[in-house]
Amino acid sequence: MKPTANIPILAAKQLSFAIGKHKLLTGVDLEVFPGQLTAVLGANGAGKSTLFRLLSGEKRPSEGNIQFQGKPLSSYSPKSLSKGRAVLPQSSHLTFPFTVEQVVEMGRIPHQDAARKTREIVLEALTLTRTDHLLGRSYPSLSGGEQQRVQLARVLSQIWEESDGPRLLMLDEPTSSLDLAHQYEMLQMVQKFARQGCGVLAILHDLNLAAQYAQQLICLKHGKVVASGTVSEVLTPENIHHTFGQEVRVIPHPEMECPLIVPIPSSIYQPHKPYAKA
Amino acid sequence: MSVSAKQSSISPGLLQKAGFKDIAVLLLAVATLTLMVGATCLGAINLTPFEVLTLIGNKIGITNIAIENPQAEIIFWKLRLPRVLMAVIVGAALAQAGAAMQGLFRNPLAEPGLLGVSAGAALAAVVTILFASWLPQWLPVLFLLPVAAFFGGIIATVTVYKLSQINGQSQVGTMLLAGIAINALAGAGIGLCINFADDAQLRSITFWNLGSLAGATWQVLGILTPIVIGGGLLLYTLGRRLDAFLLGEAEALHLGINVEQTKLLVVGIAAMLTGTAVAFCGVIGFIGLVVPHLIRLSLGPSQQRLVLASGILGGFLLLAGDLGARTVIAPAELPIGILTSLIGGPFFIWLLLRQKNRL
Repeated sequence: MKPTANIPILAAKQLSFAIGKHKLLTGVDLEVFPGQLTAVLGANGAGKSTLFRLLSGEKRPSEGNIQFQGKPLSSYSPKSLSKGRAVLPQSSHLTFPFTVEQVVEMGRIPHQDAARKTREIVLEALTLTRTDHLLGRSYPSLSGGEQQRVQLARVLSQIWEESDGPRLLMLDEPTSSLDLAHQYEMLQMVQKFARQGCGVLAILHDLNLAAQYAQQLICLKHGKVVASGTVSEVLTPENIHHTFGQEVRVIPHPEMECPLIVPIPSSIYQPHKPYAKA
Repeated sequence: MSVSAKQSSISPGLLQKAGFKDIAVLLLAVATLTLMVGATCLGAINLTPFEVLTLIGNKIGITNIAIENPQAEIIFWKLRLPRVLMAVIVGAALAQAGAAMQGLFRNPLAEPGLLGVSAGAALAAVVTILFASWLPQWLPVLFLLPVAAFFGGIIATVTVYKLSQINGQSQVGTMLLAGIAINALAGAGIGLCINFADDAQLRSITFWNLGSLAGATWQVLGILTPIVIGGGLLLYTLGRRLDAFLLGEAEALHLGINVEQTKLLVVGIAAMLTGTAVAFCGVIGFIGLVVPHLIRLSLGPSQQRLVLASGILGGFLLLAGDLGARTVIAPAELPIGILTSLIGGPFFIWLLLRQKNRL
């Protein structure tokens, strides 16, 4: 781990967001450290995407503040942010027939390097994301999973160089249209990237993916943080039931040093006690 | 991370591809220049290419050869050349406006004519003609027309854009429906104006609905040329930003692009290009749809090359169309707008079928 690991690259304090009287987020605290993957978990409509848009700067919080590299997020221009931070929104609808390498190359727009260097980074990013065999293909002709990996290559290429300073990668449900093997493959790539000192914030749906690849977890429910901390602190049957309304067993992973979450159908497992009105 | 041998062998290929595309654009430019010489030769009275080149040479002082045909000089400088230049410039303006709007809407079906931008500009121009006699003397209609058309175009563009955006995504169906609504409204407005117009006004108004390049003069060219070249250059410099914009607004923002400013600029430039073209030539449809499509099919979607190549091909096609319009039934003339719609309509249907099959 990098020496700067104890200083968060992204820190949010007491974030709230409301549309009219409708509160979508209340008092959310969150920190992302270099070299670590921080995952946000929560049921549908818990406020994950809203939190993501606040943290990425697409929307301004009603209350609270966000710091990027120790300075308020709002003090950065989009241009200066784009050199140290890459964001992959949930779904990208690109209908124009750009080739795969053209899409990835757009990740280098903020840097304005020489063509040769740009091309090298693009090819390296394609290799890391195992999309180099798609070179020359038209983006709209790819499958959903291939498109998502090409988009990952694009955002990785954007913050490819360690020499650019502290880097942050933000991913909104990066595995949503991937099959099982590609889900794990994608998080392995992200983990590999994080180990080079990049901080990663990802919204994840699959608890076992989060258990294996994340270092820090945050559970959201009705716009509030209901649990946060390390994997073993957060992924308890109580927390998971409270967050998702699903009974689970948490057992040790047979091969790895992380918990394995096994959902239990309610017909078999009687809920031990009703939680505060859900 | 190291680059494997396999990858590094690919990169020269990418280079060669870019070279081929640049040569294609150059060839297109040469073809357009050749057609321009050809088009100045053909008409009710034909000139020879030798006469045309000699006339140009005489004017700029390279050659000093007497021309046998006494009418040639007048035909060339007063009629043919302004008209040929006008066709190229207006074609370029419409094609670039189409390319810009397709980028803005992130949709290959966006086009100034279909979305009612041309109609909005035409309505503003028609209203200007109708009230021209009430205007103060120091305000010449010739200069007021493009300004009015520009604002008409802007209002139409912003309306369609706002209507078609749902959750930050441009909806194709809503976009085309909004275009129908704007076209209908502007059509009603123009109809109303026709009702109140006198005979002379009526003749100028009819001209808007059909489109024609017959109004070409050096004075008009003096207004059109700087606007179209300036707008085209601005679009060219926005090219990379528009590429990123095609990924999505949020994606462009996170690539460090000032999204709001880019949108504002593109709306402004597209309305300016369409507005000035409409102000002097009336509504000429489908150039903005057909041309960027042909370029994308052959040279790819990169906006920078798209804008440049669309400008050239737009000029080429409108020039070819106008040549047809004024020679096919000579000495009478077909309105160019009818001709472009005749070709553009079936092309649009083909595009719709292609999209349908893809879904």
